[in-house]
Amino acid sequence: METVLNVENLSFSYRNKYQTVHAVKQADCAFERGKAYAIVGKSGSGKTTLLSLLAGLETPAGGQILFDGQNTAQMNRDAFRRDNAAVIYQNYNLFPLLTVMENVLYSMKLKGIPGKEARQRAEKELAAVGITEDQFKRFPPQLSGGEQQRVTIARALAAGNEIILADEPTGNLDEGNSELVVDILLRLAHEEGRCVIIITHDGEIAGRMDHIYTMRDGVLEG
Amino acid sequence: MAGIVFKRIRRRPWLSLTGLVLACALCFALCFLVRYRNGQQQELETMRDSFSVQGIITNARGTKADHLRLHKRYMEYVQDEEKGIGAYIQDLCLTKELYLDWEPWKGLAIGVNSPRAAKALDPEQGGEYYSTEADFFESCENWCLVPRSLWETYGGRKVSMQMDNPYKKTHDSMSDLYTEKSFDLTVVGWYKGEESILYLPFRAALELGRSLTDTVSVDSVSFRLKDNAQVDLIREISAKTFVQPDPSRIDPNPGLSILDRQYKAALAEMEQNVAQTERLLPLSAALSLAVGFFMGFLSVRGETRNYALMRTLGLGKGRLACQALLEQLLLPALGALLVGLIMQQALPAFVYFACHALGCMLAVIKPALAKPTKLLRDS
Repeated sequence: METVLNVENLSFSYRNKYQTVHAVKQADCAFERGKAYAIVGKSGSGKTTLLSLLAGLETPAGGQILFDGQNTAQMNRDAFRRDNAAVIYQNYNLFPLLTVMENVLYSMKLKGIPGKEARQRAEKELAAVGITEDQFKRFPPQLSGGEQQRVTIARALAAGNEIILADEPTGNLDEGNSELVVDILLRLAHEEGRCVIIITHDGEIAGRMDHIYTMRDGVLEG
Repeated sequence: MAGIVFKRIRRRPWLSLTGLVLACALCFALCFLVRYRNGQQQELETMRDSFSVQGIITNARGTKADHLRLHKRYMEYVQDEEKGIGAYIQDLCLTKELYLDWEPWKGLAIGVNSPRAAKALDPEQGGEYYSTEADFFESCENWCLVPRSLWETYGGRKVSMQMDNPYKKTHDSMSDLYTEKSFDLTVVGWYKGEESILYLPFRAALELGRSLTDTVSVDSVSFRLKDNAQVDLIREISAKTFVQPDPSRIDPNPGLSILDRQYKAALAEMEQNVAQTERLLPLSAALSLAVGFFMGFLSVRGETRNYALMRTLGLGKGRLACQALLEQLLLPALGALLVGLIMQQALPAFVYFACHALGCMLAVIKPALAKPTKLLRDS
């Protein structure tokens, strides 16, 4: 398998109201295409910070993250997220004022994909995650939590991003929907060759991944 | 991305509508104030230009404006454009009085340089005259205008008055000696009225006076100011030649009364209006800025989550700021454009929009440029 993300000696700290928090301490790991990874750990152990660093939403204090051998710190990180890395959160993933279809089209519009092609891709990927055509014109609040999360995944699929970073994607979902979402994410890794990284508290979901990393007080193990 | 912006505006109708209505109302207020101020200023200018401020030479006490026996240097002073006040005045009215002893009655012969110099001749003051000679007032010929009742006897055609019939003797009011002289006058017209006065061309009267006494004098001088705004300047310039009229003053020099009290009172009221309006203008602009900020703040407050999401999807800071501003400013811009067009006030509408945009920018720029992770934490 080909390494897509290589994390070398990565550290990050921030200052809150009372102290400096060393959220990530000299982390080393590698993520390959076609594999699904879980990052587990207690609340406040630095999992979400690591995900933000991988997505280019934060700047590392030390070390580096290499995307296909290129240091992301030297890249346009907005373009990196737009073209390569999709982030999925536990909630607040969709624009409430845009319909399901418009939400999926949004990231493709950012990439400059022409309207007709974008629409075809959106329809295909929405169908692939089980969203029916009559739901295309609905607004996110009119969908269930599981459906919303699937629309988010469809958006990442349609945009063609090869790295999917998911922060507790099943945190708000019932068991059936959780399973459905995890199935889709695993299919993305195994069938479409994308690199899927999930942060989760759920040991069962973590167990279905190809590799598990554990965060303990900012230290990555595994 | 403009399509997304339009959709988001359309799907928040109350916020958008409130923004539009507020923008129209504030822009209207600013345009109205500017238009009102401009109107007042224009009226002020018109008043400055059209108000007829009169200057009159009087005695030092200010109690008399005729029979002044003014030395010719005063007449020259008001006409002199370099050393006097000639450059600042217009419609100069001069009179020269001669006492007349004529068979029909005894009375005055008054030399006038303009119909405005005598009430009986000035149509604006209810007077009326007729002259067969178009250049009567500029002439130095011995012509005269008689009361209308005498016109039937002496007028109708040019009648030369001979020394004996009618026989006229005159003396100059300036002269201490009662020197007399006989002369001919040609009746060339009439005036409405039955006074025992003959009106002569000013230059002719001046010449007659000089021939009687070897002195040139005038009996009244009045004028209008060319530019009413120069009233204080004229007072200052002429202070060495004319005294400020005062009922208790005893002074051989004549006084200069400039009748500007009414003009200044009317002007003061309008100037106060303009000043008050001008004080309101920056307040109105500040209000526009505050409302822009408030509307931007209201709109952005619930949007931080969406801004964070846009950033995580790869929208750059700059593009996000542009998109957010476009969303905030599109309807206010439309409102300002409409109001500006309707009220034909392009500059105030633009100033309103600039203030509103600045306010919005202050509200939008911080969340638009913040780190998405911070926005997510805040939301």
